Amino acid sequence: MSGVDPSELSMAELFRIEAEGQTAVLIDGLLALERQPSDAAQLEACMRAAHSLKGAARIVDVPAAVTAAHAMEDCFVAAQRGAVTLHRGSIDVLLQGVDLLLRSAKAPDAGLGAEVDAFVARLAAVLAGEPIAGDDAPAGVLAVEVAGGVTEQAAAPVPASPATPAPAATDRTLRVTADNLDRLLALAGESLVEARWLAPFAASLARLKQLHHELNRGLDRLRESTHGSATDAVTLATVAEAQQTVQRCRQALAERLTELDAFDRRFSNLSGRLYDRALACRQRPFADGVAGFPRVVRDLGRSLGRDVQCEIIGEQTQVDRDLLERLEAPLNHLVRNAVDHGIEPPDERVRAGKPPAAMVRLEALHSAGMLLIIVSDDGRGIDVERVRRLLVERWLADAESAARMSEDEVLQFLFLPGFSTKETVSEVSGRGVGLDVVHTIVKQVRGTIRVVTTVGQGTRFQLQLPLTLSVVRALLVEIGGEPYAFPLAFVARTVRVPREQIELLEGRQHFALDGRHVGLVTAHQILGGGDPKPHGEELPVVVLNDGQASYGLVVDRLLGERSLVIRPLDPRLGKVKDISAAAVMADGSPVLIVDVDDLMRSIDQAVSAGRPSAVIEEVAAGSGERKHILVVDDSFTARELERKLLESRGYLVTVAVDGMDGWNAVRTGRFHLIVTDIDMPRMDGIELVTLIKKDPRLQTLPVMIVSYKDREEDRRRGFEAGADYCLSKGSFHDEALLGAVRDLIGEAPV
Amino acid sequence: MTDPRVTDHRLADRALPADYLDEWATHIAKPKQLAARGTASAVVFRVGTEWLAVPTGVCHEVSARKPVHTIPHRRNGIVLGLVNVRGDLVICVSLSAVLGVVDAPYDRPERRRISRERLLLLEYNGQRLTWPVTDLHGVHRYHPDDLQEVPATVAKGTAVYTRAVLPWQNKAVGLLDEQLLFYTFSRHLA
Repeated sequence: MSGVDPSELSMAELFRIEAEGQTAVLIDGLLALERQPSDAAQLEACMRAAHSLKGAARIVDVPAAVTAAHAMEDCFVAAQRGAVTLHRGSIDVLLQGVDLLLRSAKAPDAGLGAEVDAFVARLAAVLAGEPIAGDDAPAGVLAVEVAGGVTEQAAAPVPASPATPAPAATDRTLRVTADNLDRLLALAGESLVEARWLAPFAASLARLKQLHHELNRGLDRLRESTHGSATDAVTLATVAEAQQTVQRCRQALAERLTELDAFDRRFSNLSGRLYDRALACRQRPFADGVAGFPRVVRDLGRSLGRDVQCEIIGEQTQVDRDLLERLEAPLNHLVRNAVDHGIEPPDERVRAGKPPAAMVRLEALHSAGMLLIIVSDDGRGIDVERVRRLLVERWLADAESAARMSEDEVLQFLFLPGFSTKETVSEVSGRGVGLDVVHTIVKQVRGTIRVVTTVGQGTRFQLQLPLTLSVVRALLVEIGGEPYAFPLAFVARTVRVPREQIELLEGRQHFALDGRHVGLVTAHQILGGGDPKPHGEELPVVVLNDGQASYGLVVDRLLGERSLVIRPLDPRLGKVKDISAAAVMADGSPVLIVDVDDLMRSIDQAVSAGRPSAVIEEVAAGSGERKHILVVDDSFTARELERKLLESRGYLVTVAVDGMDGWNAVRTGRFHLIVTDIDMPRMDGIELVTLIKKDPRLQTLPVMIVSYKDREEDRRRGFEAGADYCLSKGSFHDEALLGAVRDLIGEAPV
Repeated sequence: MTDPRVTDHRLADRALPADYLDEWATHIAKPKQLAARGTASAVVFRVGTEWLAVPTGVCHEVSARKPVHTIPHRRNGIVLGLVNVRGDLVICVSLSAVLGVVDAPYDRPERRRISRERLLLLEYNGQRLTWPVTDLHGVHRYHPDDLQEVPATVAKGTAVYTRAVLPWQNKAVGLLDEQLLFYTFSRHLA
């Protein structure tokens, strides 16, 4: 649901989203019940899920789903009462029911009536205790009977390819949660920061040493001044003694300093190693990410009538786990490309004097602080001259410049969107989408890609990537008194621009850089924050370039270049505009890493909106006197339906997903009316009404109960708890709800 | 040496002191102290002028005030920014903004000023937040019976988030409802 505005969705989509959520609950519950048939909590959860789905299906009018969900709910209720026990056979049938529900949600008009009837009959038979075929079938059969998605999974075990012998089981691996690993990394980073504190501390002790020295000199002078004069022996002895003490102090301090220095070195070394190790934990062997490829290559080759083998070299090469994940799609594309575009049919290969069996190689190695991944084939290669001709034909370059381009430059055009050399579009590749996507992803992970090809010999795609995604080289700057970091990949350069060189063009500020005009924007206008420091005669400017446009960003101060360990932002913050992640600086203070793509868009907007002005996020002003209604319902569909309905009449609506959520909202917001369902997890509607009516501050707030069940008992309980109105959803009509709302709080002012 | 068994015998067979039985009878006759005192505990702190408390279980760490990095487009007064706690970047929020308590703005810690200001790190349901406090007393143990109802006269903002009033050093300390606070904060983060 995250990121999707529910008000944009149609009712059918709402129902589909809800069905996906509730069927997941059902599957979890059923699998648990298979082991623990009388687990009351699971039965309750399943009953509730089926019940909610039934209600939602009724609202969107999918009778098949209503029937199926209703039968399942009855079954769970019976199990709750102890009237039936859910053995494996009935779990089987119920899982089929779950699939039916999911299918009906995905295609509400699919006409599943007959299937649903069959399902209801089977379920009834199971509940009646009739034996069902497969009742005592082994659990393995389940997977086959269940929907397509599951069988696919079951049928796709990764085969150990003969070309890739299993790596020697010398490196034992353990499962560690990512969260634990991140905390470990954070602590290791913190110990590195703490260790850095020692050196300046030791240096500050040197000042103490200096003071000792001065003290000694003072005592020297004192002794000299008393020399010859008639000073008593006691004073002289005291001075001598004091000098000796100072001497001992100096010695002791020198020794401690040496020890501290040694400790500092040991500790820094240790925490550095600890940190490196912790970082290394984020690495996984290359083989983990590509184990499926030999199978892909074999199957694809078969379908194209070609005999292709896949070889993986550097299986044990360590690759950042996030990087490996991000690379899966581009590698998959390159491998498919190689099989489809690169490899010739067997007869053509034989004619060319090559072995009929072709080879696609995937290779990973570390080289000069970078990770290289190479996808190569021994196929026909790319005809560079043909690409050159295509460039001219498609108006991408004029004949003259095309002729001047180096082979490398020509091949770079392969990564252009919509550029394909394949004449026929096939299922596998050749639609001209793909290589540009590969290029984009590689760029996103701050890497580069090159093609090398020899006609008749084969093609090599070489990806040069950073060793880890968790460390970024960045330019640190100060904006509004706080540090920000720009990934170096996006920083074209930094310049100090004298004030008099700033020109005004059409009301916008520019300065000349290498003969071009670069638009100038102050970072503070985009990012906000504390008061910017006044600039001197020269403005520090970061020139950003995202490949298309350039902007000069005026910052307070340039702080320098650092390597930062990237920390994701707390997910509760959502996507923060213009910011991609955070990091900790050497002194332990936080720094935000700028999302340059996003920032460029923000600048574009600010510039095209006329004169760039301070962008201040305004807190939504008090929304006048609109009547505010809180809708509490655990069914996504019902909730959104009620919300849309009430909002269409001008009411302001806030939603809560269950009683507890509703109780929190009621206490912290200002509402004119509460509309609540009865059956909800965590806290039901009756309990919620009771709490509201018991609270001296809230008891005057009108509450309406809306229930799926048209039961007299519910109405009675609702009114007893203090509800002001009860409406049954069985007879759910827009007008009934709106009429009741109007009666309770009046029309929403237009 | 005498046989130890003989000694034991003699010890057990001693005559009781004259007032021994009386002493015990009085003791047992006394009404029983019904419950042990101090079975619950809370961390007591001050925000602005208001003394408040959260259950000890929620409070994970107390640290000195640290630099907070504000977050662009999230400067709504409730989210103060990010702060580094043991290498973790944790969201720092303003309790005073939610409670409507007057508080001095949170500046960077000034040098050479001994301050009672601290940062509380709280964890509830696996979610972590920090908030700055003006002063911190520490853990206070109390008995659930000591808790008093929130008077209806208390200013609206604080009352909503106060579960009960805890008497402490002649002050009325608001025991905060951590569940409701976390709910409110997470609504204001995105």
